[in-house]
Amino acid sequence: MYEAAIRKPLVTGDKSISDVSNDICRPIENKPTKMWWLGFTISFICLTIFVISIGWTVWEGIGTWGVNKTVMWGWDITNFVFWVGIGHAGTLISAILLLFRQKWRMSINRSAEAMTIFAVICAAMFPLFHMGRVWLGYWPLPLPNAYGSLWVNFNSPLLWDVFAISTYFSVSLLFWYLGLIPDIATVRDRATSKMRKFWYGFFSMGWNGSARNWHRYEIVALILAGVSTPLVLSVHTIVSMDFATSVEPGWHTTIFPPYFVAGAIFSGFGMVLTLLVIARSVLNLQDYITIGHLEAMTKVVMLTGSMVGLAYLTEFFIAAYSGVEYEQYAFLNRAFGPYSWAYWTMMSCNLFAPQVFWFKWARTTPWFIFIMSIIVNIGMWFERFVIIVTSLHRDYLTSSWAMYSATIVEVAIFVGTMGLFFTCFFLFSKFLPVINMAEVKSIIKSRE
Amino acid sequence: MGHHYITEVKNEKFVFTKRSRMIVGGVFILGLILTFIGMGQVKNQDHPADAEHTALVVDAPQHEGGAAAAEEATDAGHGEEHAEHSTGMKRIWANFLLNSYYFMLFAVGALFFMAVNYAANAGWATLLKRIMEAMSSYLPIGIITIGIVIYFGRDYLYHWIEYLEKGLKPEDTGFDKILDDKDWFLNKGWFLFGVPAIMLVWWLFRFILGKLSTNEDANGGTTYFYKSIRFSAAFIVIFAFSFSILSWLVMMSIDPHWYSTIYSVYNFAVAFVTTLSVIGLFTLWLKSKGYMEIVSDEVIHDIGKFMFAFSIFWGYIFISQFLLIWYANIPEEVVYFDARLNPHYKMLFRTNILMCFFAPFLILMMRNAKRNPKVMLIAALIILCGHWLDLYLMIMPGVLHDESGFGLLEFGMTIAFAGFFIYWVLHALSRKNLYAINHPYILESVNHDVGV
Amino acid sequence: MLDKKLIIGVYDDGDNLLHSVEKLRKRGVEILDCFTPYPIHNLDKALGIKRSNLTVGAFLCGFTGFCLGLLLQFYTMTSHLHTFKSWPMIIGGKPQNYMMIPSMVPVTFECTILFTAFGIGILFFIRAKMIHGKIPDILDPRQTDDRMLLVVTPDQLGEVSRSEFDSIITSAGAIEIREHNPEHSNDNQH
Repeated sequence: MYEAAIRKPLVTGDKSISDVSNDICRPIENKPTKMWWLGFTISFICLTIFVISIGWTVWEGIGTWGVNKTVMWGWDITNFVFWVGIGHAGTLISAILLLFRQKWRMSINRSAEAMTIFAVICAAMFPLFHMGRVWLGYWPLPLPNAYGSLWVNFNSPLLWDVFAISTYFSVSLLFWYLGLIPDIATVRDRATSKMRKFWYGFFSMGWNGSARNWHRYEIVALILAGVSTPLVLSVHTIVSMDFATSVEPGWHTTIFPPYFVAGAIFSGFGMVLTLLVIARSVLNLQDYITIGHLEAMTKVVMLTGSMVGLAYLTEFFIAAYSGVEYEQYAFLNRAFGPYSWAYWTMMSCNLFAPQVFWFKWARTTPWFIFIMSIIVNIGMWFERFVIIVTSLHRDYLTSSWAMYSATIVEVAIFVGTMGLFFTCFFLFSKFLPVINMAEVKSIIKSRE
Repeated sequence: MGHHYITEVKNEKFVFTKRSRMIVGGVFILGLILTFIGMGQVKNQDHPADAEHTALVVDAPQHEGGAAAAEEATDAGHGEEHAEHSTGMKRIWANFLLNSYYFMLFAVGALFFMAVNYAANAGWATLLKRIMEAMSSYLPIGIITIGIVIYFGRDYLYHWIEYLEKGLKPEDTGFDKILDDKDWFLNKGWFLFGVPAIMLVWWLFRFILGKLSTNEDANGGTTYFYKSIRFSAAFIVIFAFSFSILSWLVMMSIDPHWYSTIYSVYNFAVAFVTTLSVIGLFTLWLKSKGYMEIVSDEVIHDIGKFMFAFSIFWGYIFISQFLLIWYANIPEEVVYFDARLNPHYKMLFRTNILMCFFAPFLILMMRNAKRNPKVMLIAALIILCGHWLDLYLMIMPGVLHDESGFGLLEFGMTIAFAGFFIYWVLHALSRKNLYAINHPYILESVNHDVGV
Repeated sequence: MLDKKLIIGVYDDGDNLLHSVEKLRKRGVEILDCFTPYPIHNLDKALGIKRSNLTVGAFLCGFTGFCLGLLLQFYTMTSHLHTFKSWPMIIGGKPQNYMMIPSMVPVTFECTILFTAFGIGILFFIRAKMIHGKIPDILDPRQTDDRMLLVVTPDQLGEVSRSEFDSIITSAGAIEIREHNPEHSNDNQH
């Protein structure tokens, strides 16, 4: 495709096609570095914490958590929404940016999609274990009941969520795997050991790069991008409906769907930045994930942060405008009630902090971007905490008012899912190409 | 190498011929005539439905709680207020608001789309930039027409203004606590100065971006381009906030008891998808007149994709608002849809969903449809009519209750506005070259290729 | 494919391959296939590959999903199909007939997407004859890495003679020309 002279190259360092394969296959074909082992060990320890704390929860019951009758959703659902939100950046980058022809997505979509899948796995843990009896976890599936014609309730947003999350997970997995096939084939044909040849051969499904298959492949990728775009919007929309279909002040507000989606993209990009700022220097990928890529992502962070901020202000405004005392109280209570520390953390991390990205220095300094990305992650975690806990802890009935604080088990489970997430990510970076080689090869050649 | 790229663009100049001027002007005049006939027809439309109207109030959903009771009180109060303004006058003003707002949306939508293209570094639509500029040049007219509505028509359309003027105290009959509580926002200060001020700020940005574009044409270089990016980014932020406020003041306050946080997003969805359809229509028309040979099917295809995508977006925002309100079933919210799902509006409400979501979705899904000018034309017209109906359903139930209708007035006024809009835009288009020749991305747009 | 006699042109630049394809097709040479490590823009058009009908398949799959999703919900939640008698579910006062359609939107949507995505994925694997564990027919181990191959069978050359073919593709930038003969296990260097 034609490119204006004014556009900066997306891949620097004057790479040839074989350089791309060599650079990106290096972590797969060599022994892992010390940094990798260090990171992997820490993550694995956290994963062990997850197993222990979840085991304890299943053994003892939900009583190990701090949730109570009034605040029946606490850290668990906060973490669920947090992880699902993070899971949105991957599909956003590969699908929506594909449709918007933003080519800078090509060096980052693979790792972002991987992140999506791992994040959704982490997310799914929470509702599953929150159900208490995890061995009956198949009950939300639309199966006829053994005792009669009792089915699942399709009027329930929680059931919509089951459909949304499972569809999202499986479609993302398919999309990711389809993108991986040509690259797996590359690894297969470069492989020197028998083991590698066998496994990569098995998963490459016999890909040979024929022009006919590329033609079909591109069409399929486009269709999958096309259906993933509304899918990614629908998932967080439906997550938001878990709250917004209720009559709970602070939850029931019509802007929730687009606002949750914007928040999801915001937090997702925050996590992508966290991972990629590290990965590009650990894996020596500065030529592929350039400052230009980071800058583009920070712009998205700034944009979505502002959208989320606009939604906060809209909510606040409409609550005041509505004339409904309950709504007004819910929002005043957020800002000035017992959980105001959470509210102001959220506001400063999500609305105010990303505004530094108006300055070019902030957009182009990796260490600063890294710090900002952590701030964004914290802010978005607090957003969900604020929405869930501050809306619940004050009821219509004053006698039900309660406070909530997490127990050590809940904290351990959250830290544990971090471990699960990063363990998966480290394994991914060892065994699969972290950058889509085929796509990158096509952009380095489009520039004469 | 390997590809046969076009590396030069010959600029064109659109000539707004006398014949075209006559035709478009004729449409405008025809619209005016129809409007006046229509006005004559409705002028004396009394409210024969007065009795029914009271009945409607009684039939209104059974509200519970203090807030709702207050609302009942005002609803009953309407009966008296209505007596002051004839339904006919209300209908005329409601139509005037509808069209003023609708065509203003194209202008600001085009400006927004131009800004988005700058901010996102998108090159594919560069050839159409002058169409967007010409469309946004309608902004001053939009300011004037909306200004007319809020200065002269406000008493007919916004019953909270009437209410405020009465200055009732809590002990008076007809006192409405909800409206009284809203006077920090629903007041004349915001309404009479806020609305024009917001639109003047937009116009200021339009002026700056237009100036940069003119200078770029004259002098070349990339400085204007980078400056435009900065102004575009600023505009997008300001637009996001100010458009919300504008939509609350001008549109949502028609039903002042009701509120919905997604309302501004909904208005934005309407603005964006209609703007793209209008851009598409102008492009297709210019191509049919022998201009814009260089605008390939690929660019049209992408416009079609945007129309498709944002029709889905509209559907998404629509269902988000509807589903949540329907599901929670809270009296102070469902009144809005209750008024729109009664026998008088039910069919229109369903038609609206069909025209704004299902029809464009099914028509524009296939690849070939987006490359066929006729199909694109039909799709764009359906979208435009659908969203006109959308605005109709946003305005009429609040202003006229069940006494709205479709007559010469509705059609005539829309035709008149359309004629004027087209005349204005084509005139603006004829004053500059058809392409922003020095735009750094112009060749990307020329050589655009949607791929598979 | 490997059971045929093949002439293989090897390239290290996608544009050169595209050029050769265009030149050869102009001379009436039908090309068996090309193998490239990345999708080369417009190569499918140059080879004369007809646009795949996979989009139609996607639509049909999506439509099936849409219908099945609706059917499932009508079957389990409403009285229209006379399916529930013992446990009609009245939850939150929601209607039990077609009036609950707003509630059906999310699940119907998800079913549509699920069927479209997996339908198109499976159709793709069928059309591309791909399956786990298939032994790939690789002509050059670098064809998925940094080499592009242009493959014709001898009888596809038509009126273009072999030496003419060689000179066309060499002048267009082929770095090597090879022959593949199924009777010999190794490729012959030409």
